[in-house]
Amino acid sequence: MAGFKQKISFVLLGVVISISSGTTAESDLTAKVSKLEPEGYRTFSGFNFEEYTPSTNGLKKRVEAEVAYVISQDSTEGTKYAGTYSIVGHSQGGLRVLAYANQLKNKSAVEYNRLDGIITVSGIDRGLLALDGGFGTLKARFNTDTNIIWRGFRAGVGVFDIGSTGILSGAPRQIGDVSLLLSNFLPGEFRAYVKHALSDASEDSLAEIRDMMPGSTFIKENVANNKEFTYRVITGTASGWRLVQISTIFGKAWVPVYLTWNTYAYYSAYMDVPVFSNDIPVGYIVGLNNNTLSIMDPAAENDIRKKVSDMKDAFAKIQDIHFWKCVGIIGMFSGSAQYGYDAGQAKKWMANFDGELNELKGSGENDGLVAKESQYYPKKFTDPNTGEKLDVHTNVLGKTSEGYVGFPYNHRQIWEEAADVESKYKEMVIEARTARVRK
Amino acid sequence: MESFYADVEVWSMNNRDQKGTSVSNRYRMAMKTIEGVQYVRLDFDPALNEGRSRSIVSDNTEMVMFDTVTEAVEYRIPITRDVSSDLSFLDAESGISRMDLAGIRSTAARLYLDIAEEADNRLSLKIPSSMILNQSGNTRVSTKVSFDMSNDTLEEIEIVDRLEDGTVVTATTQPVYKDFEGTPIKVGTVSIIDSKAAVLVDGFTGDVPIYECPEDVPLISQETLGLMQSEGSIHPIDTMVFGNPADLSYQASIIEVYSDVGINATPDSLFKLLRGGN
Repeated sequence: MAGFKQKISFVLLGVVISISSGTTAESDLTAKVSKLEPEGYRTFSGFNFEEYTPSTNGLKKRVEAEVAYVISQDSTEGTKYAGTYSIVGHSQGGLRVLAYANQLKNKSAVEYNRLDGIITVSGIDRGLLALDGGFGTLKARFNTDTNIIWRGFRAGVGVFDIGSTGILSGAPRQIGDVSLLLSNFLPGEFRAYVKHALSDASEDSLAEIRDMMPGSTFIKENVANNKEFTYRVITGTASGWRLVQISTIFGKAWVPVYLTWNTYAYYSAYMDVPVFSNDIPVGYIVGLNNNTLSIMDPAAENDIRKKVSDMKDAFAKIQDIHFWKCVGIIGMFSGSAQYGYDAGQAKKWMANFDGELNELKGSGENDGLVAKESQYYPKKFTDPNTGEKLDVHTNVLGKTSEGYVGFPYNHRQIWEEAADVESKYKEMVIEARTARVRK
Repeated sequence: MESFYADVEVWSMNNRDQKGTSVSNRYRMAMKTIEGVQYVRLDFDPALNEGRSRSIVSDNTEMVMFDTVTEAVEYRIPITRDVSSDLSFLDAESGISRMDLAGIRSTAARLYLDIAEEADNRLSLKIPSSMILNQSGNTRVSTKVSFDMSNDTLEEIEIVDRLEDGTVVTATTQPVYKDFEGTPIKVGTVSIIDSKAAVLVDGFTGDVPIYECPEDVPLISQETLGLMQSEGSIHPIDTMVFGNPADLSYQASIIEVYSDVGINATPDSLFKLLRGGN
């Protein structure tokens, strides 16, 4: 573990990224790509959103530089090495090691033959799901959530002053001000993760982040092409009152009707066509602790959870007061029907706080920052329309039927603290030597 | 009518989410006029409020929030006016049954309010936005209260607000009445909140599929789902958003259904926290 702790995480330790004039500086390469470890692997660390300086240089150039750097290291007196090796990437490093294999293959058959295997750890292998569809996806989710909380506040004005209770006193009270959500409910690491998406900068001016978007040109050309599908499955039935629009002689009217309807669960499916070939084995180590706040220290997490709980109670009281106001028609036309609904939505948001954060991340299954489905490529895909089974990439390390090895760690823990994860990828490094198919 | 009580179940639904309609709250409502003072009490169902027993009781001057079981008072809040005192002639109106439309009409006319008969026996009262005092940071565009002259009941309240970001919110509330031995008694309300965002969120790239309703999404069987889950190629979507994701508009519907309705059978003791005694 001694060397393990020296690894650089993208979230907590500052990594100086100095990109200028289209080149990746030596210091940046040495910070992100480790020397060859005695067990025969190199690690590739992730991306520091907090320290990122906007640049038009994307991941293609970075990976090209990393390929050249490793070849250069292995041919330089003092670090000379002609044997085989694996590459292990964390977070954005996972995406880069997958692209590394492709670039190395195109560059030199001899060098490609030296590569035993690829291992990704909480890798954003399919791209950051939170950015699926561009920055707009995250912006829309943030604005929706901010507006729910803001409208909850608005419902309390003149009714039950949340500010006077000390909860979020001094918080912005302007609709659309995302700092309300950012500064009060999210850890710094998460704020860093999304702040660029919420800026008005163009994607091309944030090229490394652009390249981490699912379906980006970089991913398509260097890692995998995929098609995403949405499906629903019937889960049962529910009954209750719903409004139904009917036509009357006076025009259309909404009437409450007691109905029974099907309930559904919804799913995303991915049909992947990897650029990396089946001769190279890939191991996926997936983080499954989806508690984003666990990335913070426990005291900070408790502070946020207390705030969320207090806010939930406050919004519940505001909603109840508006129910009371609606007993008279004055309350109805002063807006209590709407304010009561708004307070109820804000209460629900607070009650479902972890679920709301999962929604921002794009999935309920994640490692606190990165969706599970971003972290691996499945071995097979069954086309639900035809039943045809397609091989995606079957040369997978880790000997699990799922095709990945899951650990109950968050995005930071899995790389910085988890000795069992380190043992697992070292096992995979050994396994890769026999799983590799060389022509 | 001297008093009224009902069990109220509140159902709500938002057209942008997958959940359909669900019970969002439940409470027992009781109101009674005693010696010219109108008392109101709501007892919220702990089952829908995380086990908390909360009640509200009010008279004309004070609202008290307290623990239903222990009667420990949590807040005492003086009642302040949300609207101009010129509208005090509507203070006592609950819309539970027939209303004094003739009185409303003559007072409104005396105050130079815009009140007029419309088609279908509808009497409409337009309230100037300047009379709405507590606007909570938004701008009231219009307030219209309509009455059904054939039954002397409240028909609809429509308010339109403009928020700071340009979103226009139209909230329409309609009481639902049922005939009890010739008297219309309120048995619920239907509210529709239509929130229209002024602009679309920018920054979407690529082809983001848009599903307007569940039926737009292709259906697969549980068997196929199980097969795809075992191969790891399918993942749950916790919150499915319908409609254009760049458009933050929504339409919410809230249905209040009254049951176990009782008339002139509410004991004074329900209001003892304000009136004293047992």
